[in-house]
Amino acid sequence: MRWWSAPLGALAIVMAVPALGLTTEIAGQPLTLTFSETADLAYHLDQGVVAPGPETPCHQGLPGFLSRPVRATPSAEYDPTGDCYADWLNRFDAQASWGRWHAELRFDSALFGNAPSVSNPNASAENLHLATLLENRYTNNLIVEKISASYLGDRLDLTLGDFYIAYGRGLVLSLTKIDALGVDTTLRGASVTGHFGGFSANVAAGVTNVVNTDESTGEVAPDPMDRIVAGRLEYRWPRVLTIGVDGAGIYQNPATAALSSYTPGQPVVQLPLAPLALGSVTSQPPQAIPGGLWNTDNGSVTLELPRLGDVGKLYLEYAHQVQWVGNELRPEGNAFYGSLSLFFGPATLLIEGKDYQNFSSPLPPSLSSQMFPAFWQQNVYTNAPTLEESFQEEYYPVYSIAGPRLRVDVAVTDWLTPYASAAYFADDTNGYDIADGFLGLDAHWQERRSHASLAAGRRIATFNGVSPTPGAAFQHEWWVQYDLVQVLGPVYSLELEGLHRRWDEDFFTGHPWTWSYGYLSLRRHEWSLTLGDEYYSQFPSFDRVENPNIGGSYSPTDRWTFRLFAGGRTAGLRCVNGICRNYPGFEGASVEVTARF
Amino acid sequence: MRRSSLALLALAAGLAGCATSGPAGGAKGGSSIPDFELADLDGNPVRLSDYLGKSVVYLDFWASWCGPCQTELPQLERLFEKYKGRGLVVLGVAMDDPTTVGAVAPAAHKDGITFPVLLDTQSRAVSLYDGDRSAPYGVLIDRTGRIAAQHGGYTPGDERTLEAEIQKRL
Repeated sequence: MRWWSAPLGALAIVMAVPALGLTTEIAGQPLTLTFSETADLAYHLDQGVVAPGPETPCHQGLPGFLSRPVRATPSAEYDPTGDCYADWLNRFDAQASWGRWHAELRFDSALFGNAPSVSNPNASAENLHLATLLENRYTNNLIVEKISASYLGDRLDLTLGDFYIAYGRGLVLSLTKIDALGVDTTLRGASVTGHFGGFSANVAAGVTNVVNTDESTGEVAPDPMDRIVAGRLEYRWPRVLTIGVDGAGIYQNPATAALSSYTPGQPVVQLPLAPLALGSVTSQPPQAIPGGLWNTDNGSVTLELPRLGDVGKLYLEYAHQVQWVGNELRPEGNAFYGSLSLFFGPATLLIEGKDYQNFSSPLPPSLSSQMFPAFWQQNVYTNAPTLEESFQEEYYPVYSIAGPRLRVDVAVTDWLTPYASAAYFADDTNGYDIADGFLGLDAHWQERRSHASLAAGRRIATFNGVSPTPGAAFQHEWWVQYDLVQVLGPVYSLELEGLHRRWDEDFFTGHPWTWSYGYLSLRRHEWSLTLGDEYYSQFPSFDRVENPNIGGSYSPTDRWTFRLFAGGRTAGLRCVNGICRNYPGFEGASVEVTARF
Repeated sequence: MRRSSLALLALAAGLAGCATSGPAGGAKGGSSIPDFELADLDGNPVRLSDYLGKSVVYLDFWASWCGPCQTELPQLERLFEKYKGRGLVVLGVAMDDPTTVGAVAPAAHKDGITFPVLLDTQSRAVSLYDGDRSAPYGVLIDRTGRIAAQHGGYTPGDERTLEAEIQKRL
């Protein structure tokens, strides 16, 4: 069977089935099958590299708003390898439920058209450079991405195959899905949970499984198959307390860690992307692992008091870490996280604190940062709470950082809630202290159907005594975030949302710069139309670069959603709650079709 | 067309042929939709199947970091208050991962939410009903335990459509 038959068949099934779910009966029990199909087709004009070169031929003849001005001077950083190609990324998910049993099977596939290639990599230094940039990209593939069967009993839960897993606040273990970063990491193995009165115990073991095609770069990577063994013992006394003990051993896979970048024309090996896959990655023959493998044992105790005299909640977690890098034992790590929520009439208070000392987090996979740059940063196995705004960049892994955060919301009327937040962290790993504060307000009117949320903040990171230049600015930033929704009659609404960030001091650039976006949308229940602009001041010239775009969605029924996008998106480091990755820019157009049935 | 493609199309046609509502019965409440158990904000275990077959259930997948979700929550609270006496159950499933789950209770408190808010840090319920992790994402389950409607996102006015769907099922 040709590899492309599966997505074609999936699409045919979607088109054919008229009802929401298929139900039949087996052994007196109803069996329900549900399917979802997501097809994302895109044409990539330009990934907006930092130092653009001359226009590539596919830009010629296109309307002006889609093409960039020609830059006269090619650069060593010139990278056309993300330009002028098309892709079809497909996801077909089938689920079956029968009594207490549930099964899932998900196929992911990627098909690329007009993908750039270098016919003779060794002909020149430039060709070799481009061939290196094209390493393990645009490989057509079809993968059984998720496969699982689970049983939910009164006293026993069992899952075989792929599952997400997180303990406590993520200090010990956290394998999750973060769509904004293209992350969907599961443990493939077995998980068993038993319940006995107020006690429950979970034991899980398996190897890690990541999404193998990066939609923004076309890069492919194998499943790391790092090994994880984990367990949690918990006692839950509803409304009074929950206490738990967690442990996780996270061990890098030597076979994945041994993969390394190849030189075109030299001997290579082909390895499958995943255990159940058509498609492969190319590597040098196995090499010595630079620095050695990372093996980590994490353990924690947790305490939660869900009701503090009916006025609040308390959560405390202490974690301990033992980590080997090769044969070297790192200093043992300790981490403490606590949060206290208090509710006093119209006031809501949230106090959080963290004290991480020599505690390594997030823990990376064994994928090489050189060979798989689009994968290594975000497919992590732990994620300690940062206590910062979700968009805030975290440039380096956490080892030693400590400080509190306080947020107060006060509903002064039934339609207006101002709030304030303040935080201070001493980062002894990177050698700077962070002072972070913001003010905001939420307002709503028209029976809470229209609302406004406005916030403005200032974050000052200054080198401290640990660094060689105490008192110097690391980064000084201010930002404004807004979200305004005004209903227009019973079914229409207008929304304006955006974020404007300005660094007036930046150790990296040595120059003030801006990174912002704004979107204006007209919405109705079934459809939306959006105009947007993402703009930033581009290093090193700091000219303002605009990326206007237009998008829309249409959902004619519950089952179908169509999304369109055309225009540009800005490149940059994008972060979600402490997990970050570098995104290339995007110029082009995409269509996404989602069907559930 | 190759034989394999023809086989897939034949399978599609076969599935289309059996795409009818089958008999209810079997699992709790006569439903075979996927079940899950999560703890609420007070630590009480809540199992979906405890409500199936008895109530009209609305699952609202939301998150503390999701602006449209915060706008929709008060609308759902209003519908819950209005129809809970007639058998409507709203379960708010917070999709927050471990790093943000601490903000769920304050967010629910600010909006005056009284329906159960369940914590799904391990994506158990989310992966069953909202694989794309749209937020908000709503699933309406009728008294026979079948999915009656589902909708992603929130636009002011959606609550009217949802209310009409709920009224039909109560």
